[in-house]
Amino acid sequence: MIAGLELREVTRSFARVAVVRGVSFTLRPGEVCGYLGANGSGKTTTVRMLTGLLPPSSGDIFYNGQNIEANPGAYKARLGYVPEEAYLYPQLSGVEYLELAGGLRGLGAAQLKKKIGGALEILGLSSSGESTLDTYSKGMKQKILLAAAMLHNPDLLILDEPLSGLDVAAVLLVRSIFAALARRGKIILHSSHDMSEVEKVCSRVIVLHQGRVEADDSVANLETLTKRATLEDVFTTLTRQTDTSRSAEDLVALMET
Amino acid sequence: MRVLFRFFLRSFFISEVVAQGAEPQVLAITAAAFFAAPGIAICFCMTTMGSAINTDPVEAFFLALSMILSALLALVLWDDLLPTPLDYLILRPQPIPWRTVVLAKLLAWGVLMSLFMAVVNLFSCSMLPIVNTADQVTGIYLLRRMGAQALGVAAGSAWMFLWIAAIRGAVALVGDARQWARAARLALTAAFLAAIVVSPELTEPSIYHHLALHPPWWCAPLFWFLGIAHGLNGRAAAAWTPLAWEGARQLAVAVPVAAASYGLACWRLPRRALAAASGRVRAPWPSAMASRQPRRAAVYRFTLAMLARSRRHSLLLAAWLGLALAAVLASLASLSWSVPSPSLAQTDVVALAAPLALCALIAVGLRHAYAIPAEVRANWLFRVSETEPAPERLLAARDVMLVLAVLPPLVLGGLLAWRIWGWEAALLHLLFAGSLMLLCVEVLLARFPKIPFTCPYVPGRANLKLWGFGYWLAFSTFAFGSAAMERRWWASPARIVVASAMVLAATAALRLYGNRWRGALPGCKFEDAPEPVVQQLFFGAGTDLSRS
Repeated sequence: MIAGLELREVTRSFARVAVVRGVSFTLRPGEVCGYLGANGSGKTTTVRMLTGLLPPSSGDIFYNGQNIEANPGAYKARLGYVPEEAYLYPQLSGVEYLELAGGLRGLGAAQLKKKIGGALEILGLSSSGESTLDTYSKGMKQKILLAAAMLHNPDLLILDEPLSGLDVAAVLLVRSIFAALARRGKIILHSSHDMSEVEKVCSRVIVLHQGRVEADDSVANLETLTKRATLEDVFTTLTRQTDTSRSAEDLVALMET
Repeated sequence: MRVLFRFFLRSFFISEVVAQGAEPQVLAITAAAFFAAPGIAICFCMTTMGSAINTDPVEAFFLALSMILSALLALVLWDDLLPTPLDYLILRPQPIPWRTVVLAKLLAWGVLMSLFMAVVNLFSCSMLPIVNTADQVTGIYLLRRMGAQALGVAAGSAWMFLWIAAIRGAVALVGDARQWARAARLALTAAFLAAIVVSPELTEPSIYHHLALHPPWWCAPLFWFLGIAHGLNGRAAAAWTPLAWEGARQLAVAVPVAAASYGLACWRLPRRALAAASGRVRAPWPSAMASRQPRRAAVYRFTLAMLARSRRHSLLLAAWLGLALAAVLASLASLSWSVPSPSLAQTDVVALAAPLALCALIAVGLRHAYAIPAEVRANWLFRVSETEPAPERLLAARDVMLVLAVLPPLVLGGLLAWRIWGWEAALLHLLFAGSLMLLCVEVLLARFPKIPFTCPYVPGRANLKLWGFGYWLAFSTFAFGSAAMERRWWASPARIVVASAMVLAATAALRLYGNRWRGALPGCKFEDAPEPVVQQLFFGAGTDLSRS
């Protein structure tokens, strides 16, 4: 039995077009893994399959050796998720949203009160906890989502662009949170297209291009293998990105006509 | 100015509250047909009645209807009454003076209201003077009567609209009192909807003449503006003249009050748009009555908060509450006509049925609201945290229904019964009505597999065209049939106890069935499939659009 999360030849198609094609990788406890890819590369679809929101068209996902479809409830109980877009219920206050998220995980009122109070204090949201989420900035919503994902102390955290909209102090805090969680043996999958951030946070990187895994290694190894100085250069090489300066010139010229 | 005017006019039809995703033109035509229907139907019926017809009560009804509808339109489009903070943030950086934006908004409202009132009253204003055979007039006098009715309607509707606009402006100035403002708006909506249901009573000549002789305070505005119509049409009795002057005076008061309140709110809007709203909220009061099971309690609190704060859901519930209120008003009226208070065995069935009708209409309203999604893309939270079998979460919908649809009618009905018939009769009435209310809740939620507001809505499921009569029959049997039985059995209370026990047994059996059915579900339902005929046309089926 493999401890951790394992994907075996996972494919997902929409209207007969494969968006994720035969993706396989394994994440072990204590690992913080970056999941990189350009827009439309299949990152979010993979994440949705990992969270049980979308079933794979083919292939299997295992958690601690057990297919997640065999007992989805047990798998979801160990899972924390931060979605790409901050889809929340704007009519609820921050505290109410966290109470909902924690309550749905079966946490009791007293336990929740303690956890929510502490989390809001640490994330700097104490003063706005009673305000509805429609008055929150993007960064504040992101903090609420992070807190909601961690309330039930999950073993596996799947985060889709978790740092988007956060201020510098919050980004530093979240980086430290990732490190602390990894030290406690949690698995973190950090899906992003922010190369510099992934480079700072993750011990390992999986690069996805047109639905396939192009590379899966540590940041240092990838830089050595591709003979590039930064992860951004590695990514550009692996995903065969077009010349951006040329595209920029073309667009500006088009607008001038 | 023209672009802004069109933008604001169009925005009324694409309002989230009115109909999300509907084609504005289709919506406008459907609404026009719907609101023109009473005028066409009543005028047609009157032309076929023959002999001497006095249309005064019908004219009063159309004036009342117009006043109520103008208020309702303003309440439904409450957020669009003023330019919104978003309008300010988007339009202010453009080279457009702010007063142009406000004027365009006012112009759009003026056009919308004029069109709306024209649709509602076109037939009644033009046909009723012709149909009126009591004092037949021709030529210029006919035109004068048509114009008088139109002016009365316009004045009454404008007066209502101006006061709603004034309240809207005042609420915007108060700023943070959002919960009170929301509650006031919903109460007004429910009251006006109830008034619509009750207003056809005006067409009954005896009621009309009774009210006209001694107009009570709650329908005084109707008679002010009726006074204007009668004063202008040249056939008014002397009694109408002071009412007409009162109408003119009230309109003269409403105009500056609305202008001041509205203008001040528009002037303060930039400050509000740029200042961060605190948006502080408190949990709705029944939240304290949550279950001890965490998942059930979480869904229960979520449901209550959404019902209280989601604009679309609260308006929908207010509409059902308006119907329920109308039923209660009718019962209270039937009780107040009987002095001294009759014994329960002699009481009007409508009065006995009031708590049941109230419960049924609120419960159906809740069931309707549950099926309408709120922020459907946010339902991922429920999906990724589905770690236990479905029943615990699904039972929350029933908890909310018990608290909102059973408890208030039961308490109100019990108090009323105790006051009129004494405590023994009240206890029996409570037992019988309470058991039926519990049965109603079980029937409505027996096979409901969703967490409220989390599943997309597929219209047409209720199939009102086919089942509408059946639903009405079920409601009538439940409320009025049961009340008639209660009244008949009143002589031997043992019968009521036995009947209540049988209803409770049926409720328990249905609850058992529901629990087993929920227990067998693989999970809560978050996707709804269209009707089979739509699936066969491949509209919706197999087109998953969730892409990375």
